[in-house]
Amino acid sequence: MTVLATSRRHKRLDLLQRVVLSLTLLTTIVICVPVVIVSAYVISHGASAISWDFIFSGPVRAGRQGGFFPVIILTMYALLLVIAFAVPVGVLCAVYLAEYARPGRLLRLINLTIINLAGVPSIVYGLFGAALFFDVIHTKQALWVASATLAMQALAIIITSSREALLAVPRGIREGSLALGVSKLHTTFFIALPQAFPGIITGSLLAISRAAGETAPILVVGAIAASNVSLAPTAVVGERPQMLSYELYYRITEGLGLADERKWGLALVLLAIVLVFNMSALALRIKIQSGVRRN
Amino acid sequence: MTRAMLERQLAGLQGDMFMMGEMVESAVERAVEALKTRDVELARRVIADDLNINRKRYDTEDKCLELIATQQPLAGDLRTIVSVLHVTVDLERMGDHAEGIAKIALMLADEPPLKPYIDIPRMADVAIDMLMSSLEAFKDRDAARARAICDQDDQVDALYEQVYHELLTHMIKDPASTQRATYLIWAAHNLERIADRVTNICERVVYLVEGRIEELNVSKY
Amino acid sequence: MTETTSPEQLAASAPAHLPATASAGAPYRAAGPAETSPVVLRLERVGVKYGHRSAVDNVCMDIYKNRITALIGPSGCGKSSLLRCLNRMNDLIPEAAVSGRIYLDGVDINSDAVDPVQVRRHVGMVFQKPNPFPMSVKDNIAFGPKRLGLGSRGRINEIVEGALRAATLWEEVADKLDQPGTALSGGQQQRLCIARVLAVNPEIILMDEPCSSLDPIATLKIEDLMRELVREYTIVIVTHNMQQAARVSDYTAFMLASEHGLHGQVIEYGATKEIFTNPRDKRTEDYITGRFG
Repeated sequence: MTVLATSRRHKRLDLLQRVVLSLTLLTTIVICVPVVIVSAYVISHGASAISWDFIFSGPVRAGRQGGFFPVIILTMYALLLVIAFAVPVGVLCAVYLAEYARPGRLLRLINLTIINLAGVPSIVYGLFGAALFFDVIHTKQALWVASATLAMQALAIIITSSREALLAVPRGIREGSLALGVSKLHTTFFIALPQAFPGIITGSLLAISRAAGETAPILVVGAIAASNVSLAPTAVVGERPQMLSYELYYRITEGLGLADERKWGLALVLLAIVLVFNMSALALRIKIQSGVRRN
Repeated sequence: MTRAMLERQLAGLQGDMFMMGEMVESAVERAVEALKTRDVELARRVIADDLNINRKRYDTEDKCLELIATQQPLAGDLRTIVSVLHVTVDLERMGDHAEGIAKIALMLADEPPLKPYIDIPRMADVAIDMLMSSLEAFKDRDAARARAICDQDDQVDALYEQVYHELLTHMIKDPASTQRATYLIWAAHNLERIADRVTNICERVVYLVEGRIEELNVSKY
Repeated sequence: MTETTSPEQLAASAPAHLPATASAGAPYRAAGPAETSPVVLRLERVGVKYGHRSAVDNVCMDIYKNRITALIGPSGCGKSSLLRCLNRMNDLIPEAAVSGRIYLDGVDINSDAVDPVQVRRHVGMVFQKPNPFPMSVKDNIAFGPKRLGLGSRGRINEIVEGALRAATLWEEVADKLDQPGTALSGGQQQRLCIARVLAVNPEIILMDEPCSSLDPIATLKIEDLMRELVREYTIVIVTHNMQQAARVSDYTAFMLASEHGLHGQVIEYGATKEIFTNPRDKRTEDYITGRFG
């Protein structure tokens, strides 16, 4: 028997390798399939409802005709608010936890708590938000309350992922900067943060896209269906909150004679928004990384 | 392990040096013997054997260079190798002096000696004793002993002066013997030079042990 | 094996015909009467502890201006810990505690009154593994001056070119200034890091095994660079490569820790030529000739 002839053991290992490879391929397909099916279903049922009017004009006859522009635009405002609040606060918090906090039991406890917060069900956040803003602070109902509640949920994810991104920055370049006599502040903001940027952006955008899809908090805070609401940005402060996710929920459950395809259309719009956020996260990350390489 | 190999090589190097010392000792002994007994064959053999001594020097030098290049020795090891390098030069010159004595033996062989040889063999004995002691001091890294050996050089110098004056007197009394007397003076001179070379070796031993060069053979003039 | 020796014991063990090297607590006077260069760093009883573990104990030595001083010794003897005291990088390690005084031009940089960031402007450091920032070559060098406010854009461009020339890197990267620093070869990256340090114009440059991740040619280039730089700067280098220490340095300090890697001390400190041809302490001789470590 020559050296090159495969032994029985070899053949067994080879078979095992192939089985495992097939299994992993299978699971990948299995995971992708529902995503594809759901997307295809939503697109096929809702595409017919999508028109210029659907997106850009206001509701007519309680939503049976016209569009859902108010909800869409106010959803955008709300998400913008979430970004404006959660991202800076979250990143700064992550900076403190990763760079400045003294290591020890307390720090470990804080980190653990924040990780746990990311997993708290969104309805609990809704309850907390309602209690905090209505019962304790006594604000009038407004869109920004919904944003704030969603932001709290997004915060936990943003802090955790930003912290991870900062901790992943190699110690070498930090030391290199400090050894030049550059202060820790400058080192953090001009070396560590830029290096952690891709991770921070990705984490933030994923957190935001999740906020875009949350219904429960909005429910609790008290969203209403779109009608007679001003489109100006000041509506954010004054009016009752409107969110796409809630709108969809309302429409589905109201049982009024709304054409099915219009409900699917709403779902499609929501899906599209989430998709846009995720794609942006990916694109931004790629751009930053190649920008870093080029620079 | 690299260190074990280096130790072996250093030991080998020093072994070669000691062997060369023995070759020189034998050369001096036999050269003086040839002079005393007018043994032409012996003298010729000593002259031929000097080639071996020279070759040994170059071989040892080669090994030193190889060790320096491949092992980058430092501190004590470096001083050892440098010392071996210098001592082999001294030994080779001593071999040349022994060869010189053998040549003189050839030239004086056809006639009976001018006078009985007493002092010259005595000089040879002291010089050989100094040589072997100095090499032992090298082996034992004994700086004190090396210093002590240098005192014996005074003995050799004194003997040389004695021989010189005796032969000078002889030449004045008997001018016909001038040429042969002169040869004998040269032979004694060779032995005196051999003893001087040994003090160089002793200086090297002190350098090896203490790390600095110290003049050990300051002339009394 | 050896237990720790106090300076008194060390003095007592020196060969009788040589002068004692140190009295109790007094700094090593390594320089002979021929040394004209002033003392730029004076260490007095410097120690480093990590928690309860003492890594470095009672080091007293003088570093001379415009000279290259090498710290050698087996792994774990504390030489890197000692080096990091000189620019207060040990401050970055929470459980590290540095004791003793370190006088830079007469000012104790180890005191609480001194800002570590200021110290590091005067004492720069190059690390074992080259650590270029993820930016262009030009931005790498300009980072220090920009952050420290050393000048306008035009002035900074001058500084960049000057630093690259001083690091003998200008010829090789003059047309690649906008390429990322990480695209350079290992040896070039390390010279980039050196140029980066030069750009903020320190007095002293510390090097922690700067060549250990480089190939022999790159190593020799950096050694040549060191001898060029030492005309204007003072260099302290930690190296585990003895031949490098012998080639490059003017003064060498040999450090040794006890059996458990504790209490690292300077066993012998002197002119490189002396240390490598005729060391006074047997432990130094044993280490240099490879009998241990």
